[in-house]
Amino acid sequence: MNVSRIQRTKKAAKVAVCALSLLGSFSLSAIAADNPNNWPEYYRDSNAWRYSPLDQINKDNVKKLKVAWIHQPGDIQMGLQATPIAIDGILYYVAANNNVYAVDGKSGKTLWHYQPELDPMSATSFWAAQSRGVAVGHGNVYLGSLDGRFIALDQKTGKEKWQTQLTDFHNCRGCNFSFPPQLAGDILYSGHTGGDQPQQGKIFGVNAKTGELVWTFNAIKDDPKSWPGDSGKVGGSGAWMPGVYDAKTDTILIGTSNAAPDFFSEGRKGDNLYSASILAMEGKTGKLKWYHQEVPHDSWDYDSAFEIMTIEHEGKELLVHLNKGGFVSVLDKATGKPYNVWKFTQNANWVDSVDSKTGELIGRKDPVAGVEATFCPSVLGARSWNQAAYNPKTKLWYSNGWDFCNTVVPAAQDPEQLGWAGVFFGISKLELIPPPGQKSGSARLDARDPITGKVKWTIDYPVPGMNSVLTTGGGLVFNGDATGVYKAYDADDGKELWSFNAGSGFRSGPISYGVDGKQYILVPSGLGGLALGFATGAFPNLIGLPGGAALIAFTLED
Amino acid sequence: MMNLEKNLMGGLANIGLQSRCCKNRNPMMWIGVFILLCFGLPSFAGGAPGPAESEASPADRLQSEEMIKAGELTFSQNCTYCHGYKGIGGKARKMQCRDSFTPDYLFTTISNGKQRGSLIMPPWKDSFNEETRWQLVSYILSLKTLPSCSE
Repeated sequence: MNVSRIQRTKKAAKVAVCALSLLGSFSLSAIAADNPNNWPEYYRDSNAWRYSPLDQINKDNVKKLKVAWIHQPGDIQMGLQATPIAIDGILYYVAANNNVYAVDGKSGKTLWHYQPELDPMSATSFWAAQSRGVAVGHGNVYLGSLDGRFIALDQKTGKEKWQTQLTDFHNCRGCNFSFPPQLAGDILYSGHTGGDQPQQGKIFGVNAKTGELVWTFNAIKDDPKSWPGDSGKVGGSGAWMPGVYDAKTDTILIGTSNAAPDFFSEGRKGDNLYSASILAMEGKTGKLKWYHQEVPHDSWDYDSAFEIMTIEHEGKELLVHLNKGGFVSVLDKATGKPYNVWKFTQNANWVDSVDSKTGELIGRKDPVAGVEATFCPSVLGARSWNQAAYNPKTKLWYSNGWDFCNTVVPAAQDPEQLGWAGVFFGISKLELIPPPGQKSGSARLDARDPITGKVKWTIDYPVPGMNSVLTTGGGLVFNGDATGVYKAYDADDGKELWSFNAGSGFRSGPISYGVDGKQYILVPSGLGGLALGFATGAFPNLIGLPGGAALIAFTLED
Repeated sequence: MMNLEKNLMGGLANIGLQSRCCKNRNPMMWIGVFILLCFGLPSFAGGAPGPAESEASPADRLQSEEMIKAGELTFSQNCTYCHGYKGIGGKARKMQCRDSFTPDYLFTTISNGKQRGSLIMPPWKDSFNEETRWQLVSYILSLKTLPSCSE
């Protein structure tokens, strides 16, 4: 897209906003997504594609990318994990410890800054400091806080408009929000962390204009066949990542985490609904429409929390979803019934296979209490939460992936004796190791057919890519690694076209936006996060990598 | 803060001596008891102990296999996630083969947590009693004697 096209599109978008604003909130988010200059929500659109249609930066000129400006939030705890939002040339993002900024997209100048008075206990939880995004809508910027609140800020000033305490923060071992809540029309919703603490996962739906709690969905089904005895009280299953919203059908699609305790599963014999599941819920009421449980009675920490992508295929809307266990479910969006299941990971030994037509797990190898065993993938999954991207021009799905395993000894853990920042894994030993027969873990960036999994191209990453992939209308794929090297690739064949060393790695969601006729690539740099502490057994080159926090905007040189 | 004070006040008596006195026949420990009785208790009784007492008291028994084993289990269940299996290193550098650790440094850090740069370690003093924290100290100190340290 050239400059004039960007400007024309911007004018057209403004006209569209005026014309359609009468239709209410439903239309606003759709219009924001239709403006190619914007990145209005976490995954950019309700298809969760992480695709910017902007094409001013393309294969021919990407080598001329230069730094336009850098915004530094000042707090580098756990790095900079945000996926920024861009609307009408203004950026909204959150840095560590819930530091929210509005930034001018042209100059990088701070427009306003907000930080809530956080409960001091939030600094001592397992999920301390980690802040991964905000949502924007209804004239508000929405934050899910590190102490379990939804907070609405005035989009223009950053002044607080309302706040609602949603989790019983002190009594649930740090259940909070590390990811941003999402909008489903007038409902603001989110689950909380996480699957690895002795707590009950819940999803909250709040009136986005007033902060009033409208509905609560309990991710632990009230059914003794599913959760015997009191096991459901500590069964985890939190929906800790952002869902997506289909306004046509008023449907929230969101994934839940593993059941807890993760490996010691003898006390919760049953299918443990709705852990490790994709849920389709009515936005207005939180009522369950359908569910698809990818891992019944999960005993390996295989969450279903990752992004839920919608792709049209042969006239049908399909969902594409990676489970941590290393298999991608392709589901009928209307019913949740499997259309296909394909293997993403190179090493999966917890099942012999997954039935591609039914999703049934075939040949499970469940952990046994007190018996040491090696399972692949590890607790960190076939990929971490950093999301894939889909480009409608190439029809390819781009995702980081990593392969390593863990050796565990499942063991009972008393939740009452667990530290406040402890993890309810149900183990006496957990060691992350390379796959059998290999000297270290392996990592890669894959380009695949999302429906069949067929590989178009793949690039080895000696140091894993732990950021979300970005793809654009310019035929590009952007991805970085944990050392701080950020690259642009040809989306068709994976050829490297550009590289920049930011000095600290990426654990965030880079985006692209346009303002005043210029396209920008916005890359939050700054390594941090929990996975770095786990993964070193398989990737010694991750040990001691430097942290940081810098929001770097790239654009073409004049 | 109250917990910390309580822990420090009770530390030597409860952890360093009483709980192990009948099992541990190591003569060095009894020498330690003698030194403590002669020089340590007066100042201990008069307020929170200084670093010297904290360091001296547990040093001997920290090498007991029982302490190390208990510490290993607590470490595996709570610390591995950031420090790596057997302290191989995670967000921060390796805990293995480190000669610079002192018991007091480890106990204080485990108790109060630590923030440095992008790294944040939560305090554990409200979660684990003194005994458990000293067991962790014992285990972490043992990591400098791994066979790989002499390779």
